[in-house]
Amino acid sequence: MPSLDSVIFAKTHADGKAPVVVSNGIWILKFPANVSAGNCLPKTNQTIDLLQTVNIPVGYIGIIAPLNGDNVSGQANLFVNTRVILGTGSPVALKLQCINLDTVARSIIADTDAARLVVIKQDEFKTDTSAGAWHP
Amino acid sequence: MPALQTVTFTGASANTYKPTYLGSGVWSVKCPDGASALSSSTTSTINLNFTTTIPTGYVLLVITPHDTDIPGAPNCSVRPGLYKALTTNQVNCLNVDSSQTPTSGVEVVYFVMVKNNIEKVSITDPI
Repeated sequence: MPSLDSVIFAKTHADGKAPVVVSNGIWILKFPANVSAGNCLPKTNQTIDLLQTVNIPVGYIGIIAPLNGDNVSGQANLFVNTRVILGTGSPVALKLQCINLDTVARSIIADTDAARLVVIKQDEFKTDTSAGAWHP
Repeated sequence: MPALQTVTFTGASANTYKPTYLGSGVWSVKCPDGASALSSSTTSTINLNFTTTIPTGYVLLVITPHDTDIPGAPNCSVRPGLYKALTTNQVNCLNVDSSQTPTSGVEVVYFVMVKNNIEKVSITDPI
């Protein structure tokens, strides 16, 4: 039986919170401790640093998506944008883009659930761009 | 070992940049030249001006790799999209601020081929 691949999380600051294992290849990511109130300004996007890195092996991708497709817990009109992380075997900073549609500031609450990370094994492909018109 | 499947991209304009394969079924895609402005407080699309063949047994996920705004477009973000069939590819964008124009020739989204393994689905009525 082949050995299991590893996904490695590493804190970059004492306020970083360890992710919670849900099942194979799925984690709940947590907002860090000591975040400022009203940190998501009205009608703006805000990048929230989870104060940790994730190292996803080559041959895999990580998809970060909102918990249950919902808003940030307790915060109307504030949500986490879905993104992908390509597995390179090197640490990547775990940051979330939070989108505030509201006309008032919203707050990320420290040490609460932020998003789900799912790591998926990928296939390789060949690419053909020989057809059609392209930028020179 | 089975042969690798080929994903074919067909360009439709000299404004269109070829996707770059990054490995693991992931391609980096750049914003084409002359992309339209993203209107204020709306969702709108960036037309990528090329088509993609999706191999049987896979779906195409169009999704941002970034934790920040679309380059050149503050407070604009990419909304993820899922494709099953050959189509003219577009990137759906959400703008929560004033009108913005994304920077051309800069990476804006990833294309990700994801294998769908489930062949059969049983659906039962709830009791």
